[in-house]
Amino acid sequence: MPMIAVNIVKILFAASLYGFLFFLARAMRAHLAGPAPLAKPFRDEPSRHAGGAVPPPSPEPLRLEVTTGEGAPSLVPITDRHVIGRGATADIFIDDEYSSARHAVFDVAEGAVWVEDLGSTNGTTVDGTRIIGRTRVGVGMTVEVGSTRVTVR
Amino acid sequence: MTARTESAFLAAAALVAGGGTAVVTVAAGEGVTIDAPIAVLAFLMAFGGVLAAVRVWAPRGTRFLLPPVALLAALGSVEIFRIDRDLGRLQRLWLLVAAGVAVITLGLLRTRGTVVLRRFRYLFLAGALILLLLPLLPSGLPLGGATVNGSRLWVQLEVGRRTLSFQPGEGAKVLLVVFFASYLAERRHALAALPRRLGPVALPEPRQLLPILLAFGLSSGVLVYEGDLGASILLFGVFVVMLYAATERPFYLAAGGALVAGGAWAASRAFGRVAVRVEAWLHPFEHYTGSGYQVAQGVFALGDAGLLGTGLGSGSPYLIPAAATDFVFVAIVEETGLAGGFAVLAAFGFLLTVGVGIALRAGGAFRSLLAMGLSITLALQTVLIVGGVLRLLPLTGVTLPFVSYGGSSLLANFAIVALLEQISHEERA
Repeated sequence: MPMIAVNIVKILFAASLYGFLFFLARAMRAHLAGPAPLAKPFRDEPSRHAGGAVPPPSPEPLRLEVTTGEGAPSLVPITDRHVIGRGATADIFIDDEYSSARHAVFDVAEGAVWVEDLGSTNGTTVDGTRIIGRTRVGVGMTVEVGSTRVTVR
Repeated sequence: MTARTESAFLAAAALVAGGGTAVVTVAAGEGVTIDAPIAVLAFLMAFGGVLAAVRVWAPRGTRFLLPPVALLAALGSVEIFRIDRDLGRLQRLWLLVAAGVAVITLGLLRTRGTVVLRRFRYLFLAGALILLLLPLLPSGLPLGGATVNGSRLWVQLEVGRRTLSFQPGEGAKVLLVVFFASYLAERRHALAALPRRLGPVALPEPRQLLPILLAFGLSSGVLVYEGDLGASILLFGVFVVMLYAATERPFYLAAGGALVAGGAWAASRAFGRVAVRVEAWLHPFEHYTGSGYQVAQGVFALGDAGLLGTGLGSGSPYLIPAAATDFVFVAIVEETGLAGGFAVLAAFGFLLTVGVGIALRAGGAFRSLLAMGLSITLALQTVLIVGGVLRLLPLTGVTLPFVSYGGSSLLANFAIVALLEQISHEERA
């Protein structure tokens, strides 16, 4: 190949590599800065960077405070049906040997949180009482799933 | 990043592979051959398959892992094809097989998740030890060991008239990381306790030092009986970093460092081949006609590179012994220059960032340690071989993950990608 062609190809090849890396870095930055784009409702908290762009959620969404073992509790906004368990397909994943893979399901209706056991081995309790069927959980009440405590906030 | 963006990155990597291949054949005066479209097709099939498996079986897996892997594989396959056409075609085939391994791994873990691996940990340990011992089988049997360049790392399996060679150590590496993660997740509290004191230094109970000494013994065994410095350092290094990650006790880093320093000093005294490596590293030009030839050729190739290199297909990387495996980084730098070298390192930087991010967000100690161990395996391997060919470290014959030629290496590293995607899928909020 003539020298000029070699040089053009060299520059194009390097440009394509760095173009790839640039767009990858940009996509990663957008992912870290913006609201989580994945279909994972409990991570979908309003971005702190967005300023006034995000309208304040109304009414105040209900949250589940999930505490497993000695770890710090994690807050999960509840908007829809969320299956809790230690299986890979659970929406709220808990690392809890005493829970089942798909242990129970939470949902929101009539402004309250409801829970229903999904045929788990160790059962589900609300404030110490084992539940049968879909049960209403008021704010401040605690659901036990295996050794995990879930409190409605 | 959306599904479309991720696919676009993988398609772009396939085009880099095809475009690079076309440049290589044009530079050789052959015009654009059938190899370029075949390379694009092989990449689309391999990464499309892995992507589909991830989206179906681990839909919440990160979208940032496959793009850097695809870019590295593309650069590697172009440069391997440039050095040796037949190796380049074989590497494409291995890429498809490796993608199959990733798909199978994801499929096997799709319902029960990575946690199920804990149940089989002693099976994995036994499997890893058997794989590590396989090359010591006598040569000549239908399944026998083989000595290549003084290291006994290879196993040859005779199927009819053909001989299949593979490096079982690559598979052992992944199995051992799974075992370490499972073991450390359970024992980390006992290991983190430092109840004894020696002056200002807090020490663990002496019996808690047994695991680190066993790991050191295993690594030394690999060095003594198989003559493999790279695998030996890799195994021990990964174990020490995982031990540190599990316990958060710098004591273990110091203890591991002291063992490596002592072991390295003893090995350079006791084993001729380690002393030769050190000598070739420090004074390659004094041993130019002998042990220093490879390192010296690597230095010449680097010196030829400049900012943009000689151009794909216009350099002479084939002059370096083992250019397609150990020295593939130097071959890439010779032909694409400092720019290409930094692009490779940046892609590894992305890979490590994403891997450690998965480890930090993973639910539970086992998943976290597994993701950390797998990421560190890739990172340490990269540092060892890139440092080795750049003369920052003595040369150790480990592969550059996803870039070097080698079926066993690609298979093992794609299994790592599948495991990382699965852990990422299982992460909690």
